[in-house]
Amino acid sequence: MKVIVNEKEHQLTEKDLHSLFKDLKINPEVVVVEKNGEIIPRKNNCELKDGDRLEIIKFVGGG
Amino acid sequence: MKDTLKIADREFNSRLFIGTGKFSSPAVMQAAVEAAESEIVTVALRRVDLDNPNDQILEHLDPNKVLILPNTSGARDHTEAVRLAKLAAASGLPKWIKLEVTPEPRFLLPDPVETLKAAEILVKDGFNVMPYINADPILAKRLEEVGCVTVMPLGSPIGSNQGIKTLENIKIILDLVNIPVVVDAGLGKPSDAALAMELGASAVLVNTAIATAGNPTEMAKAFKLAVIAGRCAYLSKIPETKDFAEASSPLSGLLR
Repeated sequence: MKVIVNEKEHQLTEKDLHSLFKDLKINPEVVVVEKNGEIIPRKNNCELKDGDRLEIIKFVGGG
Repeated sequence: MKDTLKIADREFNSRLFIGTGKFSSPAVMQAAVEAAESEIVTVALRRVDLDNPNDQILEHLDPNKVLILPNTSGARDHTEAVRLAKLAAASGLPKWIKLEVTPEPRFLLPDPVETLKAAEILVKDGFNVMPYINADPILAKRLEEVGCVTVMPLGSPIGSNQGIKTLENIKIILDLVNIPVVVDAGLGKPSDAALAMELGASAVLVNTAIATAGNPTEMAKAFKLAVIAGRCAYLSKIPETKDFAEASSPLSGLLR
């Protein structure tokens, strides 16, 4: 199935957020996730469905 | 003399906030924050770069020493600002937010209407809101009334290093509002920061002038000293300006 991660399509075999993190080599400790506009509480896993839109966000330098 | 800065329920010894953008590396940023002895440090939220996902700025900031203050930079209206604030809070940081709404990319001036709308929503949601604003005294008053914990008027456009072009309006803000006033944006050199503090600002926020200096660590130290000097001068009550000379040496006993 396909999900949209930060506006890019991503093919997925396992259907949950933590598997996606593994695929993308993302440490769940350092990101915040929005699924279809809803914030997923930090470190929580969640089910993913075909076509879900995810925003994976982190802190960067800024003024 | 104890002279702490109280914002909401927290007290700070430093009156120099540092923005963490534009540093050549996280280590350089960290050294500058340490040299400045800053206790409030701003960060921004952006999409993870999927090619380099784990580069992590928070590893270089100690939350026991500094309040990590996320901003809503990039927001063009109140909806985007509120969304960014909620994402920042979801990271587990304290619910403090530097509210920035800058729809116009060339001058990055803050939108007063959208900022006020976002501030009202975020205060009701329990955030300590620190809005970045143009130096508009009535807007500052309105933001105080809706419950913001500071106002952060700009000296000149973000990153421009032009210093305090809004001087007269900042003086009016300092007269009108009863929450801390933090002069933010455009401070290009330590004397600009000293001037803000001499006027009675509670603090200043500096990013570009430190991050892009030839030696950011030494410049951070220079800003720290300037802020201390300006604050000390303000507390010492600066004598008035006069139009004519007034001799410093006695006018009696002259050898004439």
